Parts: sequence; structure tokens; C-alpha cells
Amino acid sequence: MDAPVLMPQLGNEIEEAQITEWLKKVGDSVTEGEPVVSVTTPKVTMEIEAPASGKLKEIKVAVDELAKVGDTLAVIESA
Amino acid sequence: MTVAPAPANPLDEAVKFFPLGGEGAPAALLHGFGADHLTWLANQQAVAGAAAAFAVDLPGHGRSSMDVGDGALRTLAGIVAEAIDRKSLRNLHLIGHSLGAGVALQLADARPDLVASLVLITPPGLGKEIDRNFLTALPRLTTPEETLPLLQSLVVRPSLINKHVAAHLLSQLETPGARQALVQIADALAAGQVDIDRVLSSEAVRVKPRLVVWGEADAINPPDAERISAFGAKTVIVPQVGHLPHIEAARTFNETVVAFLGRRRAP
Repeated sequence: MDAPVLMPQLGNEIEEAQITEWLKKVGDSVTEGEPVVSVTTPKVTMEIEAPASGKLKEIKVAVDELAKVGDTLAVIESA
Repeated sequence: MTVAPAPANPLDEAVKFFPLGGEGAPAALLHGFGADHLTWLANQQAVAGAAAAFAVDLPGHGRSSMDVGDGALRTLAGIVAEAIDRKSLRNLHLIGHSLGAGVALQLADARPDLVASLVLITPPGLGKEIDRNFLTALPRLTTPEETLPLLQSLVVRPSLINKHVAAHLLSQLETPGARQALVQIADALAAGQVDIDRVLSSEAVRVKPRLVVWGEADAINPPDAERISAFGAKTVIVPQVGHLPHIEAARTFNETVVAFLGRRRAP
């Protein structure tokens, strides 16, 4: 089953963030709770964790691109 | 990237409260020196899962008044207490980082009726010594080249603080009165060790449930094991993390705080 990695809620004021770095590449194994991508808001850089264990199947937003809250950043193929 | 205007808050002009959602007992998040309510982005969802959460812009910061009086922690706490009173809030869980932890301690001492519990992240008074150079330099920053390395000294992994974060701080420093307010607060912090020692040992503070969270590699306010032990609070020291454990180890921090708040819930 596929599990999306979503851009989380960032409060009332921030609607989007920039992808800073992918900490995993497609095909890598990931564990639930493990950071997979870091994103930068105007205030702070945050690491977003894998919602499930499995393999990183697809990266949908490249480094330096902007993504909105709720956007799917990547897909994990659950173990 | 843009930051949308915050919802207007007509109740308070001196101290801005930003609701983060959640239900149950209220919890107020008090940021550190030179920061603002946005510092809690990685934590707000977790805290709002355990309490009715607000982030606060402390006096002299963000969208709050730049009038900080003499800048002392006690003075800042008095201004925040007035704002809490105007909102008719009581029994708040206070979650404070660094400067914000000092304000939380002063609030618990002076107005224990307002405080249910304390989460103190790298609080003043329990570390070896706050880096005076950091306090002196931050209000006087003018260029990205000097801002980035200073802010990166807050963390072990410098990639967490990038040019966007530096630019945000520089834009905040351009708010009229911001630099002067921060200088006032920095001077008062440097002179306030005796007062914070008194507060740390006060009975009003000691009877509150207390959680201390610290980064083991904090270079700005290194933890002092002896002082922390004497304070007698539940303590979590996070390895390989600097002065911003709520950002650098957000998952650990969130789990620790949610568990702490969960135990404080009324049956």
C-alpha cells in the first residue's frame, strides 16, 4: 500500500515551504518516523518524517521547489 | 515564500497571542530571545493535540509592543500576565524556550494562579552561563553574512538554519524599536542572575509540575548538571542537539511534552 509524505500544517500564516534537501533517495528503505525530507519556511527549517515504513517509491517535489500545505511530497511503498 | 498577515487580535495590543488549535487546558508557548511565535512550527500541531495551545509574541518581539520597560524577566512576565488576565485565562501550561523559559519561571513565581505546569527548554539560571556575545551581537546584526553564522551557532546541524531564516530575522530587526528592545532585554538578562536564582528556589515554582528539556551540545547556554539536579524537575537531555531542541529534535521534544501534558490532564 502506498503512503503519501505530506507537507504538514504550518499554522495560519504559512501556506507553503521550500524543499531544502531530500534525506533519502528513491529506492531507499525508510522507517516510520525517520526524517525523509527537510523543508524551509520563512522562519525555520523542519524535517518531515516518514508516515510509514517501506521503500521510497517516488519523489514528487524537487529540491528548491515550493510545495503547499497538504501537497504530496513523496510516496512510500509500505512494507 | 510569503507569510500571510496574522488574524487581527483586538483584545491585546501589547502582547499578541496566536491560537494554534486544540482543546482542554490552555498551553502558552513562549519563544526565545530574538525569535517569535513562528519558532514553534515543528511543535504546534503536537502541542495542540494535548492542550488548547497559543503561541505568544513576547514584548519586544514579533508583532507585540516594543515597549519592554527595563527589559527584566520580571517586567516581561508582568506584561504577559496582564495580557493573560485580559483573556481571563488561568492554570496555563507554560512551555518556554530560553528567554521564554525565564519569563515562565517569573510568571510561576509572581502569579502562581496563572500557571498549571512548566516546560522549561534551556532555561536561564540552570546553565553554566549564557553566551553574552550572542546576546550582544544579535540585536546589532545588519547583513546576511554575519547573521547566518551567528544563528547557526544555535544548532549542531547548521543546515537547519539557512539564508531564509537569516533574512526573516533581519526583517524583524527592522521593526521600529526592535533592536533597542532586544538590547534592553539582553542587558537585563546579563544582570539578572541573582533574581533568577531566587525564582528557581522559590516555593511557588517548586510546587509546580516541571519538565526541563536541554540539548546536550548547547553552545549558547550549556547545561549545568549540578544546578539542574538541584532544581529537582523531570529532565530530558537530548544528545547531539544544541540550543534549539524543539527544532533539532522535534520528534523527541514533541513526544516528551505531549506525555508530560497528558499526565497533567484532569481525569
